[in-house]
Amino acid sequence: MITAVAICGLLVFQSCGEENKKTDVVESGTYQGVAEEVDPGEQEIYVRTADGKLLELYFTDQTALTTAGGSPAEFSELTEGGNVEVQVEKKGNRLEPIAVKIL
Amino acid sequence: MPLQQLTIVWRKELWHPVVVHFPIATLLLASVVGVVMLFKHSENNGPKTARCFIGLLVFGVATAWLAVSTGLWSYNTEVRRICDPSVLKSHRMWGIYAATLYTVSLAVYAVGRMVWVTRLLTYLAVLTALAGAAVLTYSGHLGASLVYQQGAGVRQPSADCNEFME
Repeated sequence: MITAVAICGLLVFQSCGEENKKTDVVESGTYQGVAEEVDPGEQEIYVRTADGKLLELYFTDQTALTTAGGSPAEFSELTEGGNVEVQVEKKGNRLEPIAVKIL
Repeated sequence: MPLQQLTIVWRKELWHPVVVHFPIATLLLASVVGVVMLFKHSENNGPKTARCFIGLLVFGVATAWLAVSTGLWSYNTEVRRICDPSVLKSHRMWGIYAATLYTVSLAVYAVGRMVWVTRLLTYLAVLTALAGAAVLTYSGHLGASLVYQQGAGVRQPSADCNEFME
């Protein structure tokens, strides 16, 4: 029984963790997609592109977040399911968001 | 930034390496003591190794969760700096698994001592501790690769080392 509880605990951790989320690394460029998940705590968004790739983007101080009109926007204006256009730079195996536009 | 402002107090990502070596040392040692305990049946050595086993586990499990906590605290900083965040995620995942396995080992052994004193529970506790040792070793390997290959938590001095000038 205890072993079963332990195994269940491990599975819970696994299912809760982000590591289960299979993300993709793409070349530097501009992509359009849907903000599948928005995490204000970690200042992070997951963007599903039109070709089905999932981009994990951690905002930095240099990330420019704007509205469709080009005016500056707050992170709280990002909504799950909303369309976004992201300009990313590939650094190693990490994607750095240079600019994110809320469409 | 002046060097004085870069001390450990101001860099939250440095608390994890300060803490994490305690559970690595004590929990791996607990696994070894656990195996020794299974073969020590004499009246003199048995209780001593048992006390040593549970002492190491209690201290190791407590500091392991502290290490997980400090690791999660620094996660947001490092995931934005390193070149391959997937290694950091794996390190986080296996670290939590290791802490969980040793916690289960401690719980099983404590139950065995307090409620049903059976040899089977002791074997189960040691077996779980051995599994924890394997997972902890792998997590440690990932943590080392984060530091030595990707420079996680490591501050790069300027090219002219100007901040070290008196």
